[in-house]
This record gives sequence, structure tokens and C-alpha cells, in this order.
Amino acid sequence: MTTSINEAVREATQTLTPAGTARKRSFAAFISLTQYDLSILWGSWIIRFWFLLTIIGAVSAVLLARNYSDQTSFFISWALVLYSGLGSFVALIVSTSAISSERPFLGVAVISRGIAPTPYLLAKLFSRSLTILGMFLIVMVPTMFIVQAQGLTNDMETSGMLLALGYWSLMLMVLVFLGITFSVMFTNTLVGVTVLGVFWYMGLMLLAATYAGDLTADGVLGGLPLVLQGESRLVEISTILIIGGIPLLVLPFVATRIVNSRDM
Amino acid sequence: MDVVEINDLTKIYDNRLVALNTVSLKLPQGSIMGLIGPNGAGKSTALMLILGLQKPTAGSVYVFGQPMALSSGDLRSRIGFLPQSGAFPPDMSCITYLDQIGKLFGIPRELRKKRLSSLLHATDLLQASSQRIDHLSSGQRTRLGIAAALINDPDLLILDEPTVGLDPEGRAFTISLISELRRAGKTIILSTHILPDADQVCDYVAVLNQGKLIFSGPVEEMKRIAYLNTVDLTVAGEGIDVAIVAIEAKDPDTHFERLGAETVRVAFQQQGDFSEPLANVLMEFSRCGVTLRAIRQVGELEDAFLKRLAEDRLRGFSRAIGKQNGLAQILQTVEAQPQETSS
Repeated sequence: MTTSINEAVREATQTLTPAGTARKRSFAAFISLTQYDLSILWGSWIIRFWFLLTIIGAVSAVLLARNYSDQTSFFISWALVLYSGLGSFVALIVSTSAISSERPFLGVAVISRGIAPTPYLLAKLFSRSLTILGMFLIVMVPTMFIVQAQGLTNDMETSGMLLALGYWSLMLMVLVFLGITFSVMFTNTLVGVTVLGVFWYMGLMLLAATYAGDLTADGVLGGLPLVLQGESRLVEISTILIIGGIPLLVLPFVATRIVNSRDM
Repeated sequence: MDVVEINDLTKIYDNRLVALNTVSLKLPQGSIMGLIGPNGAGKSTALMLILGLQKPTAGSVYVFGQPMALSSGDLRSRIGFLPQSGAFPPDMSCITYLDQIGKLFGIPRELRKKRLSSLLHATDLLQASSQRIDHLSSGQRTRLGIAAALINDPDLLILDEPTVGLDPEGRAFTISLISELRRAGKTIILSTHILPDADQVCDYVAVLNQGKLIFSGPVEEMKRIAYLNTVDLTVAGEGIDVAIVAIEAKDPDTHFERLGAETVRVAFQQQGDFSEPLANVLMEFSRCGVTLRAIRQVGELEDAFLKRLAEDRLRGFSRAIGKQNGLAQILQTVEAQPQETSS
């Protein structure tokens, strides 16, 4: 047996050649980590359950819009508000557990395989954002257009719908980026989820309280129906994009800095 | 060229545990270094620092002549690592796992496939290649870890306790694999507390105890330090004690220590060739009706290691309680006359 081992090792070591440049290797590692993370996410029961739930919610929204004479912007605004409340929780768990749950074996199982923490972190940001945004857009885009086309009283404009989708996508992205940063900061997933959850939901409630006209079903939606009706002002749009864009630019650097300063 | 160069490396964890204390080491290309020490000596910490997975509190680590840090993914791509815990995803098959590791290293698909089959063959895992990792035996897992560590054709291989938990056949297989890798020109760091394994394959040893490096150098030098001109005799017969008394009366430079009912350690004062006093001992035993069953030269790595460790503990104890109570004298005696401690 020893002879065969020796021959095989010799053969294995003789057939080996350098495996590409550093940049190529880094990119290949990023792709591989992204694919692996996506496969984990798509196999997760939380993701599957949430996806199923959103499909049920979307079908309900379509049925309500087809059978009730309320304006379609009212139904879709509520769908979006519910998504920001419940969907945020899923996004929060998915992103905050991204790195902290792998922490015990991250160094020896991943980083030791020729990986620098930066491509690992970027892969996590990419795959988690892609999953959260994908789930949101795959359900909400067709729902909005079906409701617009088949609702009894449609008052939504396509531009307003796209803008609302843009706002919500931005919000979810910010949450995912925050979650990944918290995942790097807190080695305990539960602590990370709790801290970010408290901040995030306090922020959402403050935002709702600021814009809510009154405590009625229409009032708590604030200006959202107007956005769907295409009545946004450029100054509002640019302000929201800037406020949302800054964390997207800053948080990856913060997370990279933290992950590079810690022991694996 | 030194593949690894460690200068005054110190690691103190947040809980103020001093895991490594000003350790300096050099590992020449193509050699195998055994990193040995008791549990908690700092072996795994040293490996983590060499891999750049942890930041040193003080000192520096150079690998392939370049400073190693967490961001040095490029340097790590030239290193193969077998972690102690394995850290395998349990639901993956062997082949998927190795493929995944190959992808992480950025190895192109065709090359990856070629390496996969060679390594599965080399590690005798072809039969188990499609089995889930959690269904593998511990020996198979270790071999899978070795295959994963080799998939990038590393210039430096770091193996953390590769033979722990293996049956004798698995151990022999792993040792044979490591020997063959040495012949293939790999530089290897082998962390272990199974000293016969290190004795079999290592060129150099570095002994760690409580984070301190207490020896670093060639294996032969380590063995020489431990016991010069000392043999263990396995004997049988009623007259063992009589023979010992007789020999000690004739030759006060020969010292005896009973290690067991049938084992006697004999230390000769004479440097170099000790065939004559040994012959005298054997003759006296024979005269007293004692049967000789085996002679073993003391000087195994394990003996040397235990002696070094004992010296280091004594030194630490002496420092701790001060030098006024005579322990310093004992220490000096130990250092000046290493053989006397065995008699």
C-alpha cells in the first residue's frame, strides 16, 4: 500500500502547477464563496418559509385589489409596510448571522485556504444582498404590475411604483449591510440580532411616527401612496438616495476594517 | 532560504493568557520541523500566527521572506493547512469538499479535477469519495484533511496533530505520507505531542512549554542533550540487585536506576565509546544468573523531551520561589551533570 501512496503523491505533486495570478485567484475565491453562501441560503428553511409567506401575501394583495374598490396604492402601500416590518426581521437574521455563525471555524476552514478577509466579506455582502433583494423583487415586481393592471381602482403610476421599489430595495440593502457589519462586530449572533433589531425597529417606528398623518389605516401610511401615484419631488428622491447611499459606501469599509483587526 | 522566520513572537490573549512568549525560530526550505509540547504549550497558537490568522502581540512572522498578516491571502495560497479540529462541513461529500477547497484556492476546473483524483488516490479515499463527511471514520477524515491541505500544491505544509485519534495503521499511513511529501521537497511543520511520530519524520524540533521555546534545533542534537551513554536493559532473574551492587562497588562511574521489575537504566560516566563498561555490566549480570532480554539505547525523542520539560519546570519553580533555598544549586547540578539525574 505504501508504494501506491508514494507513487500517487509523486504523481499528484508532479501534475501541480501554479494556479493563476493573485487577482484571478482572489476573484475565483470571491465567486466560489458567493456560490457556496447562496447554496446555503437557498437551502435555509427561514428563507424558504419567508418566500412562501410573501407569495401568499402577494396573492392576497392581488385578490383584494381585484375585489375591493379601495385604491391600489393603498393595498400596495400596506404590502410594502408589512414587508418592511416582517421582511426586515428576516433580512436582519440572515445578514447578522452571516459571519458570526461561521466565526468558530472561519479561520481554519476558510481564511487559511489562501483567502484574505476582504473577498470573504464582499462575497457575504453580495450573496446576502442578492438573496434578500431577489426575494423582495421577484415577488413585489409582478405583484405591483398585476395589481396595477387588474385592480378595481388603480391610481398607481409605473414611475411611482419603480421609485417605491427603489426605496424599499435601498432600505433592505442598508439593513443587510448593517447586519453584516454587526455580524463582524458581535461574535454572538443573538446579541448582534438583538442590538440591531432594537435600533432598526426603533428607527422604523420613529420614521412612521414622523410621517404618519393620523392613526387610521390611511394615516399611518404617510406619504407612501403619493409616491406610488408618482407624486414625488426630485429633492425628496435625491435626499433619500443620498441618505441611503452613504451607509452602502461606508459600511463595507467599516466591516473590512473590523474583520482585519480581529483574530480568527 | 528560510521558509518560516519567527522573531521574538509573543501572543497574549485578551484574558491575559500568555500563549507565546518571545519565541524565535527559523525553518529551512525542504525540512520538516516538529513543533512539540504538552497540551496548552502554545503549539496551535504558533501555527495560527504563522498562518496569519491571529495578530501577534509583539514580534514578527515572515513566511517565504514576506511578513505574514491576516490580509496576506497570497502568502496563504502557498500554504497547506491541516487543522486539528478538521472543521469539515458534515453534509458534504469528500469530493465536493475537496472541489470546494480547490475553488477557494482559485484552481482552474480542469486542473482541479486532475488533482482531486490524484489526491483521493494518494490518501486512499477513492472508495469513500462520494460518502458524506459525517459518515467517515476519524482516519478517513484526517486523510481528507491532508488531501485538502495538498490541493494547492503548497510550498509549506502545516499539519496540526495529524496522527491524533488514528489507529496504528492510520498512523503508519499518515507518517508514510508525510515522509513521501518530504521527498517531494515540501517544507513541513508538524505539530504533535506524539513524539515517536515526530522522531520518525522530523529533521528539526522546536519544544514549547507554557508558551516558551525551551529547545530548537536538529532532532539528533535534542536527543544528545537528553541522555549521553545511557541504555535501558530488559533483564530477568533473581540476581539483579546483587549484580547492581557488585558493579557499583567495582565501577563507581556506572549508575543504575530500576525503572521496573525487569528494566534497569544504566548510565555510564565515560564519554564516547562505552562498550567496555557495558560489557562489564553484561558479564556481571550473566555471572549473577540474570538473563538479558533486550537493550535499548536511551535517547529517544520522548526521553529528551521529558527531560527538557523537567528541567524547564525546575527552572521556572526555582525562579518563582527565589534562589535562596538551594534549588538553584539543584538546577546547576542538573545542567552541569545531566546524566546524574537519571541515576
